[in-house]
Amino acid sequence: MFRVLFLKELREIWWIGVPVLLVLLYGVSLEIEFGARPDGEGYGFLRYTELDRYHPAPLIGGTFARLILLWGGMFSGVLGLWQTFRETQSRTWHFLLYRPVNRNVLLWAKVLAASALFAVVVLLPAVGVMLWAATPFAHASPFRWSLTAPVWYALAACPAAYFAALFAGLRRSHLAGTRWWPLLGSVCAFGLLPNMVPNVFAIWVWALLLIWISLLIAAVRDELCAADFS
Amino acid sequence: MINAIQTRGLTKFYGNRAVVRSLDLAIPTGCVYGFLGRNGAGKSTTIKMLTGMVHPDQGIAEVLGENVETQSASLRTRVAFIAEGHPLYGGMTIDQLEHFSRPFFPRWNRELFDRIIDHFELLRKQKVRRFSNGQRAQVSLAIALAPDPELLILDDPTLGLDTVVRRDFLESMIQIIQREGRTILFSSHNLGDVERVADRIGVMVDGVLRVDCPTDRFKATVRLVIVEFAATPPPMIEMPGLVSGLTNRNRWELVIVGYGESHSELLGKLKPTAIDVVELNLEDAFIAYTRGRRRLFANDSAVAPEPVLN
Repeated sequence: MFRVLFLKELREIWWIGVPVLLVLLYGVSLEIEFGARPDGEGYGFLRYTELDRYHPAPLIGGTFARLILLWGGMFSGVLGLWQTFRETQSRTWHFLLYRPVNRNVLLWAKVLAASALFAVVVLLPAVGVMLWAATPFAHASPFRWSLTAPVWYALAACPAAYFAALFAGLRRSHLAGTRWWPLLGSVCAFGLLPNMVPNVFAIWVWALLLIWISLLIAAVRDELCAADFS
Repeated sequence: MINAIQTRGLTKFYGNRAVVRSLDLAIPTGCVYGFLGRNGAGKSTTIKMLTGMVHPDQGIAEVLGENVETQSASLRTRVAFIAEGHPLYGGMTIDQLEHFSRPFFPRWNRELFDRIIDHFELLRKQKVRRFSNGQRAQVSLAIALAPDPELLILDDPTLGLDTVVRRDFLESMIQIIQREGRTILFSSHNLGDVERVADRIGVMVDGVLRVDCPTDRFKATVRLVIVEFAATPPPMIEMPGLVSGLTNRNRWELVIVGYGESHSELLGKLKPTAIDVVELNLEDAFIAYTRGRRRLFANDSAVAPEPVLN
């Protein structure tokens, strides 16, 4: 049962990953090309700050982490919205929810399908770049694993966007667009956090992220299992 | 007889408005039950409560003896539900839909599924989004019936279907499921369909079940009474069972539930020139009944029509 639910979800979302994967692969190629060059040219249209010019080493300057945060976050949000609004728009919630299976299973099939796609589209390129950066003699610059912290943070923040989007898509319309507040909160808080705090590797940042994602998962479960689907 | 569906005091509020009020419904096993009512009367909300899509605010609903609030996955293998509009995944073909649905149901009858698909001459490799409304309804029916359900609940299944498809759909449904003594609950706006297939009807008016009786009894109970006067008719009078009335030139057109001797005597005292009692078909009876007293007494819309029960 779980398998057919998982495959059904994957069938509906895989195509969203294609353009994101192409953009990220382009980002990876730029990171490898420019990160490996001592003169440190920028990223072209993907460059966010002039800092990159002065930080030619891979992962230094945070461009790649911001790339992952921006595209991974957007991708996660779109996945969450697509997986819910599509069911609403095509009125298939009643069909899906009436399958003789616990609603938690339906939820986790959606989450795991999105996670699998995220792993291929975002996680693999990110890990690929980090492994390349960690490979001795791959580039003419020093490397420490702590340099990868912003990338790990970017990857960890994406589920906040995903679950907030799921929640927004599941929640019935409420006054003043409150269904969107968690998504807005996730984007503002965890999207802008790297620019506001000196060290995203601080324990409190990760604790906050973990608590927020846990709250979102609880809210999504409650919405799917206890709310009316009229 | 054991009831396939039983509700006691079932109530649902949307905001401050009660869309279903204290519903006591009992549908016997083996019955084809037509659930009627105007838009917003509470039919769909009731069906959604019975299928666990909407949670009741008060009261209890039991389906096949199991409380819907604790509705288990196993109950849903025994109760088929076709939601309004026949929602299906448009990107799937019939084969893919079957492949998707089959693992959920241990009693999936592949042969029956194939027979229904072949009967309706549906193309298995075609995506569902390319099917017409009628064909989607047929696919929904095949998916609903293949698990061999004991109870079939359908929310306005013939909405948007043309006459031929509608009739074919209903007849197939009845042939396939009812011959084995199973139960069907379906809501409908089409009174002709209900009249043709339902053993028993329920009529919801403003969230209240006002009629719950065999179809024939409802038709036999509601009468159009035309009272002719020689001159301008007198002001309308109150009488038991009066659900609607219209003054038309020199006559009254009254719709009365349970018309009998007492009504004849009462009307006779007004010295009419003629009293004609006309039998109504289900559609006319339904319209007259659900339109209620609003046309009769403009300020009296809160007064519900006489209930027809049992």
